[in-house]
Amino acid sequence: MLRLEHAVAERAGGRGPVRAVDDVSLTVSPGELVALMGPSGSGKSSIIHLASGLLGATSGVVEVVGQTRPLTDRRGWARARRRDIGMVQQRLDLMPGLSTLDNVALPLLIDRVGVRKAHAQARIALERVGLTELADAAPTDLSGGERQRVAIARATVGERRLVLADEPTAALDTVAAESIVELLSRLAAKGAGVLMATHDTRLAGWADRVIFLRDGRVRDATDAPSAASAGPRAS
Amino acid sequence: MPGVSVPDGLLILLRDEPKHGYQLATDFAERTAGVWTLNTGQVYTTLDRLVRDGYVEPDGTVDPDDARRRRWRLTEAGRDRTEAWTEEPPPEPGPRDELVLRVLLVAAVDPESALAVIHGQRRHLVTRLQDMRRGQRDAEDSTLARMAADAAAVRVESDLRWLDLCEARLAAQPAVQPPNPAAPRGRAR
Repeated sequence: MLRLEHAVAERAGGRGPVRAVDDVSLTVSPGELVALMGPSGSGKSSIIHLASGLLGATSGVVEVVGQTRPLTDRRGWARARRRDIGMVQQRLDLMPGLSTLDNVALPLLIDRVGVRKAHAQARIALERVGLTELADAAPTDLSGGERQRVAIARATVGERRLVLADEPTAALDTVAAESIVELLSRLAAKGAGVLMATHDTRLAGWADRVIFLRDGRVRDATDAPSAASAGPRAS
Repeated sequence: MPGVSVPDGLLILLRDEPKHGYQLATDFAERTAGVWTLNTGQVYTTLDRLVRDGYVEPDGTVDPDDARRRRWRLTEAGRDRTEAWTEEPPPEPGPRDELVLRVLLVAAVDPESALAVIHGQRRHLVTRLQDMRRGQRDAEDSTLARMAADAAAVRVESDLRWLDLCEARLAAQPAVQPPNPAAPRGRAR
């Protein structure tokens, strides 16, 4: 679903380019929540940006849902972000003028899916995050936790099954943060591939695998859960 | 279970209604969501002590299911004691902790490898936390069970936070100097 192989990426720094991602290899498969952990500046966001076409690799492979494409293929990346990749940001960014339902349907509407079909898909996505009854509410009437749930619904609407979440809980209190990560973990259990960047060790417990980063490199990783310890998953 | 007050735990279970010993043992495990279990022997020796000290007395009524089983109830002193127990500050856990000991001693005797030890311990703790959370996600638990599971998970999280701080402090200090026995300076205390 997502594969990085010896990926290297640079960002502009005060004294010339900085290696933000330095020879990173990782995979995210359907059905798993992978957490990228590390202090600020360790390369978490850069990896998310590589996977979403907002940053180009100077060398190595970045394969997203079976496709590799150069950063210059802006249309290709934009299409991928509408159809294949769902993004959940740190800021709780919903369009204030639109209803919750329209916010969730937005990627499909931009992709010229008919309104009726887009709304039907959006309702399914809202149901997944437990917010069916708030479909007609305005984003300004929602709590921070609810807004982030809507963002997750938008990230999974339609056929999109790769979710990239960059510090999705940074703007939330402890209880809301915990429930958002639990929700991402349940989505993964139902077949989505989720890559979550967070500096908050407390949230790592919900991940199937944790990749520890430092200075753009993978320093350590926990193993995928063994069949014995994973047990049956509630759906 | 050192440090946990079994007598106070039994007293609070008697607050609502008189109970016999076996019922107390089952209730204790149930109400702590299985985190703590007591065997009936433990319950009876503790009850004996509580009766001796005047906190508990025989109820006098007969158990409708089994006339031979005696039921116990709180005395006035027992009632006062349960109130005090729930309101007093909990005992200090104390600074002695196996993780703290390992990290501090390694940082003292072998600062170069302290970071590696911190990373290794962090991986162990995250794996432990993952197992806990996975269990939580997969189970359809009662609120009490979730509260008990949270207590265990939050303690691991606090250890992880401490390791983060240790890592940041070690990273912030100047590079390790070779030890100089003639003029012991500064850091390795």
